[in-house]
Amino acid sequence: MNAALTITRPGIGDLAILLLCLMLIPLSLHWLGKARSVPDAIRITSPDTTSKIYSLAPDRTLNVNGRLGTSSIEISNGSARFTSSPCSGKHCVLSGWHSRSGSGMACLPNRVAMTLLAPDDTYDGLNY
Amino acid sequence: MPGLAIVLLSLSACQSEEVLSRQSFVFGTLVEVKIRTSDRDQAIDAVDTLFSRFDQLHTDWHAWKLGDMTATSAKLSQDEWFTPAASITPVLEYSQQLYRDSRGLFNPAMGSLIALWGFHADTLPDKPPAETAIDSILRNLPGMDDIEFNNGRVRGHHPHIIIDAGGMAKGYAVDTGTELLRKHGINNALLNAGGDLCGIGNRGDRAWRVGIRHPNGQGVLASIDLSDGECVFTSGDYERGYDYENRHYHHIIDPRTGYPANGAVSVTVLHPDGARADAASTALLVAGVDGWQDIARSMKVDKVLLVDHQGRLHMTAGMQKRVVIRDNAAQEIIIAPQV
Amino acid sequence: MASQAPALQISREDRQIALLASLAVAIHILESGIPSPVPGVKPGLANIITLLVLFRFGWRYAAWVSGLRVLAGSLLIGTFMSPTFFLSLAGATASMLAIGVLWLLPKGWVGVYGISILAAVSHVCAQLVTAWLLFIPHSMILGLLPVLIAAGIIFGIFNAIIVASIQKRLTEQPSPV
Repeated sequence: MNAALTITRPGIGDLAILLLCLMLIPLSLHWLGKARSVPDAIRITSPDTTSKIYSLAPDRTLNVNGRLGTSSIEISNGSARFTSSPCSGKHCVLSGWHSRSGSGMACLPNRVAMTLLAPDDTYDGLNY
Repeated sequence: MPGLAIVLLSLSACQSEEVLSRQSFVFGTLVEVKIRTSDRDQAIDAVDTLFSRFDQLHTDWHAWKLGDMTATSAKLSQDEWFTPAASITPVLEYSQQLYRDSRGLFNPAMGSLIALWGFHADTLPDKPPAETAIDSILRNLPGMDDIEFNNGRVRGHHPHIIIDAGGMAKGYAVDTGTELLRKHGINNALLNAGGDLCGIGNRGDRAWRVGIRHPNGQGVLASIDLSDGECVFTSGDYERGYDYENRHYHHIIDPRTGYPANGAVSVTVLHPDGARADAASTALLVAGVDGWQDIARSMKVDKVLLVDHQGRLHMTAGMQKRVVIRDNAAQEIIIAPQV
Repeated sequence: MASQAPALQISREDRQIALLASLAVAIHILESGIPSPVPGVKPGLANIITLLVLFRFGWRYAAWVSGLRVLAGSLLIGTFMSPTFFLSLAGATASMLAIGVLWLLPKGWVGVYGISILAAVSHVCAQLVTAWLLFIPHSMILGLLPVLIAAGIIFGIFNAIIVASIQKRLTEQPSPV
């Protein structure tokens, strides 16, 4: 039996490994930042105005005017859902919460659509 | 660390195609090229060729440093036929076309006026020119119609013609650049010449996405997904210029008044032709909030976004379909559907 | 390091190893009941046994016990050749490789805690990447990496505390087996 391995108190080497592994956490966070699909914004498209991007940060309800009337989109806890829409099937309301980037829902009769956007969905270039 | 090594290995293994990004200070500005490719060597080769071409064009077309363009300007004022350098003639011809389409608001023949304002120098002056000096140039302002073309030869009919193609040269260069990239087998790239961009193909997972910076400098106003071959150009009063007695004097001069254009803060044009988009953004900034729609029609650009001094956004219906506005960008959006 | 057992003669050490291996299989089966964000990805409690074997008999025996655990465990649960089996295999292989690297270091540099933490972290990393590569090629899976690395560190420390206390007892009094 190896005498050194009977040491049951953590030493400097153990601490070094612990620190290295702890460093892996922020590293993997940073590094998978692109792969992670946690959205931070929502794009809302409607017929009467221009498409707009809203931040998912403060929880609130956005009212969007469409062809038939007002569709309400609730933003809460980084997710979004249609809470009401003046369309017949109410598929958009029934689909519930959406929380993944790229996912979204449209109320087609009312011509209102939403899409969740991830932080990496930023710009490839800036125009000025 | 085996765990980490395995993760690293597996992530790199699935990226046979990559988006390469290269930057260089050419054409008097920072040029960035992003290329989506699986052939790194081919892409680097193409970008190097592009950068050296841009360097050459910058020298050839420079409005006040000795080169093909200054030589051409000198001969144009002599009222006789001559053959300019090969890189010059197409620029002159197209500039004349754009001058006419813009009803003279884009005027590359009035280099003398730009020079009077002090913009034909690396260091800008600290005060604007005297009103009398501006008036004397304005009274007999050269235009692109003072240039006659005949079978590759040109003749100037005005003693004070100085060509300053600054309002379209970048666009023309970017068009040359995208053509060059395509010839090198590049089918997916984003060319960014100091804030004016043209896209080829797409990024792979989606279109090339361009953010339009807010003219007040506070973040992004809107974003546009570029279609294949599309360019987005913006002219603004915040660009090259100087302050004197609490007033800002910028380099886009209104040929009607002889003073810097003040009818709008910025104009963004989306168009497949970079040179036209460049000239149109200049001409429409000069036209201002009251006259931009007419000039947009005559310049045949249907995707225009104008920011006025109140921070309101004016845009064509064509632009409205393409642009995504950030929610904090503006209180009011005005659509001009008839353009 | 490991003592050489004469052929066809069951030594005390053989019995110890067999007992530890069966314990490893038992823990492996128990661990399969622990819920995890990705089915089959486990914090590696069975590494406790691997580490005990390692410290008492050396790396080669630890690797044997580890492999036996994966094989016997999957046969007993009925997951042999299923995704779960490959995840276990990947985890065991990665942690044995990590342990092997540390084992080559001069003695005294790294103790129970370091080896245990690295073994557990390698275990989850390898399992997650295997899950991503072979079964669920969605980037969501890799998004779990930070959480699972954190879990790996916690379980690594937990395992080490257990191993250290067992080691202490075993060195204080002669082995009961």
